[in-house]
Amino acid sequence: MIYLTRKMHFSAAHRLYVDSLSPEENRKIFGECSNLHGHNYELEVTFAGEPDKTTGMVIHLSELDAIVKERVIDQLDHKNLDEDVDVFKTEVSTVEMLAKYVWDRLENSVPGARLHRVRIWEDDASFADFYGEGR
Amino acid sequence: MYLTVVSRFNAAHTLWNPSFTEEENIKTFGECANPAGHGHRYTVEITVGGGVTSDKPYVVPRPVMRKIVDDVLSPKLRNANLNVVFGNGFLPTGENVAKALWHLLEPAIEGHASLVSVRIVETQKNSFVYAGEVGPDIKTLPI
Repeated sequence: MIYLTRKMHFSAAHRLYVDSLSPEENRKIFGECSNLHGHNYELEVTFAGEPDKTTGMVIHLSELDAIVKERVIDQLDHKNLDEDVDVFKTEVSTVEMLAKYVWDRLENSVPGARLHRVRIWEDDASFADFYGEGR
Repeated sequence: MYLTVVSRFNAAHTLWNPSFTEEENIKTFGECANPAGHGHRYTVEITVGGGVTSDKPYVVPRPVMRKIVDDVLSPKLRNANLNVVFGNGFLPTGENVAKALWHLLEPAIEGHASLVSVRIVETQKNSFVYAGEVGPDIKTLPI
């Protein structure tokens, strides 16, 4: 089994805010992240599979890029996550919830390979990993 | 779901076992045995795990996790001599530093999430992961 990881980027604005809580409670939980701000996100997607006998590849990287671009990057890049992406109109756009969103968009998207991990770096000091637990 | 926060700090150490002869120390630790010490810019990656739902959309809120990590690590590691801060007799290899930090962080994180692993990147060529004595599946370690 080979684990293949591809790295891509998107830039987006968001804030961490639960509508049912007061501004003070939101500030207590999320700190300055409760104000609208933005990130250069780095996305790493890892797929597991066996290399094709003729190409030697789990998946051709340009095919993978096209899938991730259409299903994820085009949905998120240069967007306000909380206003432009349907799921985050009701969910909080933490890096953890973003990892779940990307998982749901990419699971079963690549013929012959299984999505193994979604990693999203929010900045150079933190990232979330999702392996599809409970999915 | 796993959340990892990254801290970086500058620290000095020397690898020298007082029960070894000088010759044995140099043979074992090479250039790291310089008694005057040397230093690294260490990267520490602390990974916690837990369930995430719409009602609890985080493993630990990032600002909370950052404060826990900073409160534990800064007094120990910021511009520190690792041979001193962890007490006499501590041999500050990457392996031992990873274990020592795990034991400092675990009680501080308890009640917020489960500590999954502590990864120390000593140089571009060396990194060490401690994931407790049992440890999770290697395929789900954040390395």
